[in-house]
Amino acid sequence: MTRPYWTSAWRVFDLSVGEMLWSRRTVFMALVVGLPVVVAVIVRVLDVFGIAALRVNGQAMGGTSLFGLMLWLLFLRFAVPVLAVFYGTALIADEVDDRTLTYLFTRPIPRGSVLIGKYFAYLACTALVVLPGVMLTYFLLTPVAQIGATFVSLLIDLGILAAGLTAYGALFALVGAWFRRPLVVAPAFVFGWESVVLLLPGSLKQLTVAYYLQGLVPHAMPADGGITALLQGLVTDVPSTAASLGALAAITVGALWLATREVERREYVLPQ
Amino acid sequence: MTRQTRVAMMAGVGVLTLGMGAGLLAVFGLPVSLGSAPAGPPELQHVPQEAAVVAYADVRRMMSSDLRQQLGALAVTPQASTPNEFEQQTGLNIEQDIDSVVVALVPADAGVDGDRSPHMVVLARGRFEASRLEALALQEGGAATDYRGIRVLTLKESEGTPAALAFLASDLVAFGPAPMVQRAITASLDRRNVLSNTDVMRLVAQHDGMHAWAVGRFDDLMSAARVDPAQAPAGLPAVSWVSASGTLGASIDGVVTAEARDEAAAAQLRDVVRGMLALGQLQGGNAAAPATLAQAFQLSGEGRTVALSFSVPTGALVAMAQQAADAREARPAR
Repeated sequence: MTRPYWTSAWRVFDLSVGEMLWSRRTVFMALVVGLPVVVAVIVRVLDVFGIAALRVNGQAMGGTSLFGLMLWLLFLRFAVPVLAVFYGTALIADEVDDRTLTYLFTRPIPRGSVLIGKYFAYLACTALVVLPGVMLTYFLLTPVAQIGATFVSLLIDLGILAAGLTAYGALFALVGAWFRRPLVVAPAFVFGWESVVLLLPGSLKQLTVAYYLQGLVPHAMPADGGITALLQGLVTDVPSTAASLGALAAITVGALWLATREVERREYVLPQ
Repeated sequence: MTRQTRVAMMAGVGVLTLGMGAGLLAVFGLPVSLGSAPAGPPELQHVPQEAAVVAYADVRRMMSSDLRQQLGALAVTPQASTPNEFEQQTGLNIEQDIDSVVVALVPADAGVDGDRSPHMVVLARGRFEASRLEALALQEGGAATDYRGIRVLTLKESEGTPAALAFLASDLVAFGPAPMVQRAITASLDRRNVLSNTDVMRLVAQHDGMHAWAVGRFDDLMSAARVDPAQAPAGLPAVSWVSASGTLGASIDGVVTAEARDEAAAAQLRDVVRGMLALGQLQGGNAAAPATLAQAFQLSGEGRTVALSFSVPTGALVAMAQQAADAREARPAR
């Protein structure tokens, strides 16, 4: 007798979260997320000694501006897609490579629930490492007097990062389910297609995830003239917040639906 | 899920929960201290967020300084030993009862109705007789009301915006136009104050610990000084922010800093200041005191910043004052 879908997904989640958290990928994830925290600690120490860590046009960059820059460049444009590539594509591909997929598919559970359970395990693992990392970076960089005024922006930033992990993760779960070599396709999408298309005029950029994430970011950037102006100057064409949220939700649901459909229908040939 | 996994996940949740807690405490106004306090005096929590100019003076230190005592001895009019009319009415001796003063200017278009000149609020810390001041205000036709739990005395004005005095704490009052005094109260209660104004606080932090300082947007300073931009010198470089600070001891040490809009404007400003210093040295001639003053200034700065620092021995100032007093005495009485 086949178990209910969501009960099965929960069992797979429970099994997978530990496997993911203690895998070699986690070392990589710790490095990616730990780097901004280390940078923030260095900036804080330099600040104690009255040394400005970063100057723009001869002016010392404030902690709030620096946090905004790190959130944009290190977390949103690098850490989130890279983690989604490494974890998302591995949800099914790892089981195929390790020849353990058979053990999951021969259990009395819906095949799609395997992917869904693993996807939520990925979300739990990455969110519980990335979001605390961002929180630590924020408290290290932001002057205490400005926390009250900027904390709501941080909550929005955390929401955007969670949305990024959700959408990219779903997309790369689909890539992992579809392609035999997902680790070739997924980085090409993030660092090739998205990077190029975002700079081109026209509507091709609507076929990226980054376009919709960028649509959310300017609204959440800390209100500090210089950096906000700089980043908003780079992103001249941004969709509205509602359109961005709608598109990210559609990408997530659509990609997960296609991925579960693929997993349920496809006959995986395990390497000998 | 193993125990190890559960502990790791709880650690992540714990960091998020602690961060959320600390952040929400800061948002809703409870004190959050992570080993550092905001720059500047605590009165800044009463300065509206939109303030374009903020100045501070440690009045007590200045009043009790040797320089002030020496200059006071040279004054034309000897210091009155009996209380003046203001002191008799208010019970306030400005020299003895005021410890520090913070003055803030808010641009006219930042929420206060009325004329177009900036609105000012003065925050004075010291010893005040609240009941005596309230009785005086009522006697003069004013009113005493509570605004968000703070006692506010509104003074009677025949025309224009009435002035008000609010007792923010037992040793702190706010004085200024009534709407500005209300904003000073609101700024503290709603935590929408200048402490979250990154531009102003960046400059305040640079001058923290000095006996007197002032920071502000150049345009608003000109406006406060009632200088029409059209009347400003044509060659004046574009300056966005200016700040100044000083300490009073055996010498008066200070620095005046200007932030130009770009590096070219800063270079131009440095040239202007350099020329003014050279002119000052020429005009000082052989006289010892003016020459000492002119040589006390040093120009520095890089990028968009121009800084003029000075260190004037108090002896030189006293000598100049002495010369002026001698010249006055030598002049035949009319």
